[in-house]
Amino acid sequence: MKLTLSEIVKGIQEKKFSPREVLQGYLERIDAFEEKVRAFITLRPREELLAEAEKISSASGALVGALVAVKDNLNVQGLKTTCGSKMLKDYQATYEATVVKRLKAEGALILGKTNMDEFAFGSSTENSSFQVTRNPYDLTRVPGGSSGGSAAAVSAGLCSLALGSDTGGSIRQPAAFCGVVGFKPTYGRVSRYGLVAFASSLDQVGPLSKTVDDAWLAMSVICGLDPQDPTSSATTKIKPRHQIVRPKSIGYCPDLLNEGIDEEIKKAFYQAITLCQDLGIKTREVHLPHIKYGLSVYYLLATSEVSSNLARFDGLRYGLRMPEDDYQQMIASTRGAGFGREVKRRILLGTFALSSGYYQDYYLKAKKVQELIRRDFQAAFAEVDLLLMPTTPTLPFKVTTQSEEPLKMYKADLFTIPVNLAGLPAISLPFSLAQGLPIGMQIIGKHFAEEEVLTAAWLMEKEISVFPEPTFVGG
Amino acid sequence: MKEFKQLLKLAAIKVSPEESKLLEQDIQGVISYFARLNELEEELKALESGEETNQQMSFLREDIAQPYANLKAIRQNFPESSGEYLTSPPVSGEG
Repeated sequence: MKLTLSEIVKGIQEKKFSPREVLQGYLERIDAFEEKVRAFITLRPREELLAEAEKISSASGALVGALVAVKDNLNVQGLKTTCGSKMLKDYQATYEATVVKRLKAEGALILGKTNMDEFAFGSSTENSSFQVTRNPYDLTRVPGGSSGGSAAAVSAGLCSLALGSDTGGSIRQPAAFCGVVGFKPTYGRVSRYGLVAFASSLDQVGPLSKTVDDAWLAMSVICGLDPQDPTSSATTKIKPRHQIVRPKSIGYCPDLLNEGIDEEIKKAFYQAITLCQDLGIKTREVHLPHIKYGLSVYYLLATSEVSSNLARFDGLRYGLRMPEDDYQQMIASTRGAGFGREVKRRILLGTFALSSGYYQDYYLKAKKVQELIRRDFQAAFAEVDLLLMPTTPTLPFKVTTQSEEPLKMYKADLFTIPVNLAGLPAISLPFSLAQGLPIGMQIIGKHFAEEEVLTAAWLMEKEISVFPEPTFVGG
Repeated sequence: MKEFKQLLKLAAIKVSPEESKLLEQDIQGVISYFARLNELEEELKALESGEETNQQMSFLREDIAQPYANLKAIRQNFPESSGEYLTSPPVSGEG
């Protein structure tokens, strides 16, 4: 499908084609490429989708005819929510996530659920208990993660929009690897109700799409106050593009490029700075001295929340249960058998950071450094409207090359993690290709400055013109 | 790590001795990496307390309990049940 989401919606509204015709086009793409990419854990039955598309034909809405792939940690009532884990392989969602409800209310159709790193712990989607998703630009490489299935589905043209979740970069990093747009909203801007919690103080739901306009459209539907999420914010809806004033200045931090960054990424980053200047946006060096500690802070705070949030998977109310004669043995055996290695690592790290004797030295210290990172951003935003940095330090890596080295894998989120720690909005924009692989640029804004971030990305996207389509090489 | 067995117990995770060894190595490696936060000792003294840093949580609203209509679907997700109730093995206290 060559059409963008915005073009599809407009075409349906103007009766140039029907939702059923659009669906059939996407089903053909799925038939041709899903076997290679393996983006979906669950695809809804065709007859059900076609019947629903007929009903949508008479409906109106901002997303009429949108075909949405949903990350498998968001509840779609009636479908499984596995979180990519053996623990939940048969779990049937009993209610709808608010974001899904909002998409459906505007005429979107849910195609299925996408693959992900187990419980969203990972940066390659290799930690899924079910399958390895491949990067559509090179099938021997990972799509990034943890929303790798969603990013690959958009990139391969298997859906017109996808939802992901981003705790430390899980929307932006796979978006960069797969050459698509990935948007992480301000913490609180989009409801988390119906999202299986990873680290509740950092998690945000956001869209992955082919274009900035499509992400903008999706954001205008999914954001807004939700009484079901106690951290949801009562801010106004996202404004349309014509009401937005273009950003005047963008900051960049050259110090960040000292930490093991691919040369191709550095080169693209400096090209992006030049592009901003060409667009009339003033560029300025800023300093974010504590960002280099972001990785340590994140893995202490996020895993601490993990150890608490994943305590609910105990074999009692849902999910896997291992047969044991004793209650506590049953819980320990179930968790031992149901969780993969990375999940166990993170639960143990979090348990360690919160345990007596270590809490002060680890958890509490990390909370304080998180505050220093927030202040760094605050100081930078006193000088500039936006910040620019690469989304990832490397190009997409080969399947299996980093999955056994936790620290190496964690470093894939070097540039995305600080944004979550500060609760800021950010976008990853497909910027260029190197060795046939996509490079993403990240634009970060102040709290609730989604429109400014989107505007800068839209201006840059216009200059980049058409981003090359994936080639599915290496299959 | 002396207390790794205790950590597994606190986390309620049972693993084989081989997996335990691998996990212990992984975790020691990551914990060593966390030590870089010690470089900030002086700066951190200037920050008064951890609670004050947690600004995001300050706007949490109270939960409001609501009746739930879909109990049947919830029960269908019970791993083991008896009638309307979920069942569990007995608590022996020796876990």
